[in-house]
Amino acid sequence: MDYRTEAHTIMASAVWNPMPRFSLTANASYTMGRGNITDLEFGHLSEFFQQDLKIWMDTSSINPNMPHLYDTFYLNDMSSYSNLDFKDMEIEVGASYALTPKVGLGLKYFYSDVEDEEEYVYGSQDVTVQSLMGFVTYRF
Amino acid sequence: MKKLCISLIAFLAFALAIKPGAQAEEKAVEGQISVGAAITMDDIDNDEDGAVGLGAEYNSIIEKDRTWDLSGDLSLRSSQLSLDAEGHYQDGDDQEYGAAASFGRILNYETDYNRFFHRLGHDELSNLMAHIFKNTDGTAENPATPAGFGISSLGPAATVGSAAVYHTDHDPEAEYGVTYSVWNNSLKVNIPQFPGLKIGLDYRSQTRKGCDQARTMSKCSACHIEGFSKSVDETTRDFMPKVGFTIGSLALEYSFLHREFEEDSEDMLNTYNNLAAPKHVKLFSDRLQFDGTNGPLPFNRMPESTKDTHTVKARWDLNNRNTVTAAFVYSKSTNESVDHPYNVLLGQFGEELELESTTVTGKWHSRLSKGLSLTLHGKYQTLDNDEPFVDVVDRANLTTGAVLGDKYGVGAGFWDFERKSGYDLDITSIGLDVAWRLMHGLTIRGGYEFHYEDRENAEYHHVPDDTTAHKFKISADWRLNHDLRFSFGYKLALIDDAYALHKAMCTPNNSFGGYAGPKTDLYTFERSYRPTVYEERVAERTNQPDTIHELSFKTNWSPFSLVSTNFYAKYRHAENGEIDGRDWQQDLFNGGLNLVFNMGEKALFSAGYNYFNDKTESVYCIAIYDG
Repeated sequence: MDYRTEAHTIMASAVWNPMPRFSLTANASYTMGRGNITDLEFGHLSEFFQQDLKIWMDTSSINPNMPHLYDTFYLNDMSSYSNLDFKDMEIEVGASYALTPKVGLGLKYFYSDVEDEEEYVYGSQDVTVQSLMGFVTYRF
Repeated sequence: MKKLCISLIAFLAFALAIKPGAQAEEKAVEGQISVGAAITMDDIDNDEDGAVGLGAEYNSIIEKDRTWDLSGDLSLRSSQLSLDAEGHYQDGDDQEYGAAASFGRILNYETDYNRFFHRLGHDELSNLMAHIFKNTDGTAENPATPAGFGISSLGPAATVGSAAVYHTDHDPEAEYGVTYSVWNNSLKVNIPQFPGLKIGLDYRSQTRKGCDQARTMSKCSACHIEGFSKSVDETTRDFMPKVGFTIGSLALEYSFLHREFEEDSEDMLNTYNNLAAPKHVKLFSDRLQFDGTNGPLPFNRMPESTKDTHTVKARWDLNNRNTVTAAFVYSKSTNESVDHPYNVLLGQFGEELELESTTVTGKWHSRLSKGLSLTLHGKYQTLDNDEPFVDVVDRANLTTGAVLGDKYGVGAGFWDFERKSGYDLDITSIGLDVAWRLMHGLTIRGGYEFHYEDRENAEYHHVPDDTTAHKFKISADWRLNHDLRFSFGYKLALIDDAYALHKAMCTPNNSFGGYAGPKTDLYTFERSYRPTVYEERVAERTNQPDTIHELSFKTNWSPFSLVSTNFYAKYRHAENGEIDGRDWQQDLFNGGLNLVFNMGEKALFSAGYNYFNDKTESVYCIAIYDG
């Protein structure tokens, strides 16, 4: 059984002061993450155990997809439980302006988006959050 | 913490109260205050079993549509007092404060406080549904037991069934998350009359409060996995007084750390499923220690503990070319939770469990010439754990009334034992590092370390008695000119008898033992499972390497005065071919590129890319952990 994780991350940030009193900032990041099990190879129960009627019980009338209750072959499906595939993007932009040498105004916008392509036991991790903040700064 | 907040607010208020004009020229007081308000929008459905996306894992303000954001910093200077303080408050669970004060350079005090909320996952356990029938009348989700498959004589249908695995998620709507906070304090005193003497006191408090998911499982019945919400209330406090003294070229420091871990979380209790005991076999009912007939039983407990550590450090500058440093550390950790009525479950009877550790380290650094230096270093550590007595409950057979020991003629108490710790270790390492400046701009470094671990109780855990490792490293730092610089590195580790489990799995060629059932008895353990599985589990597996290669490369390049770039890459190959079955192997690569474009005060732009790839072959899912 092999396990592989892989992640690409790209990030950028910028600060720009077009005027002495005015400043702009921006930050962005993008991450792609993946993880999965491969080469999980369980065979059917050996003939030893197939002789045991309780272990090799024929339950096909109840669940045709799993005709034998304790067949180790079914364990191969657990590889899908470990799959990880998500994309995460975050953007933050801000602007600030100095009304006077002591008083300034500012604005920030934050955007976050996670796309979860492979749910696991915690359910879907998809989420989008946006936040807008205004602030006043006083220097002394 | 309240006092700290009040103090910071008082400082900020004090700053506002001071007439700004009068202070402007002297700049004795300066700082800023920022008041903000935020509107937050999200697409989280809070009714959806409390599920919150990965992107909101540490975001505390999404619980509210509108929040305040307050921040400020203050700097105060006078002839006797120097103070710098800053703080940031956002919502109730996102706070950060810090301050540093110096009173006449005699008394120096630093403090910081950080608090945030961490959402924890909630496992609905819905994948734990390996059963296809239960011993009940049946529902759409859990069909009734078909004729011929039931074992209705075993007990109430609600607690005993022939299901293989099923689950109960008791608190799907709880808010699973923990508020984490840490408060650091450091006080240092310099006594003018004794210029070489330094006295200090550090204090650290860390708390975790909130709600976590606690899981447990019934055994020797159906595998009934149950999830509960558990309140979390943990506090760790560190007190560390210390004193240091410098006489000429010799510097000594002694510190004493007293750590307390306080656990006020909810006591978790669960009534497990009753034992599924086939009456016609009369076998298992005397082999299980506890089940539902014992009533509610504790689980998911974290014992309270203390740790005391004595540390002595010394540094001696023999001359301007040779320096010797040494340290001695002795610590004792104690499990304080010894008065609980369920101690029998924890394998202890009023005896405090202790772990003692003693470590001695030493280093000699010598600058032989202007371009050549040597460092010789060594370390010895010994770990000694208590051996708790484990009382295995001798439960009477439901039918015969006899305990299991009677059947084998060994009587009650035969299976009681003293648990030998797997972490009783002696660790020794010694090494030599060399740094040689070959020419201007080019320095080569190399080193060798011998590492030896001796496990005292290896035979009880079926692991190697000792492990020996030889570690080599070589690197070069080459600075071509002011704008271009390269670094190369290579490390090699060769390990003999890496930590492994000697009886980890059956032989890889599937040569199971002879099968003696089932003609006489379907349930006879001795005829089937023991010879075919347990006694054949003799193959060795591990997730620890016996060979490690690690290559690293880094370059810094400034093609123009405004532009600087950085490229880095690291590749690690680890393998172990000395185990049974397929070889274990890991290949890890991490690399990236950074670019900075700096136009001074006008503009700054930076960008970066990072790639990470980790592939492990023959991952083996066993509880193996060493160190």
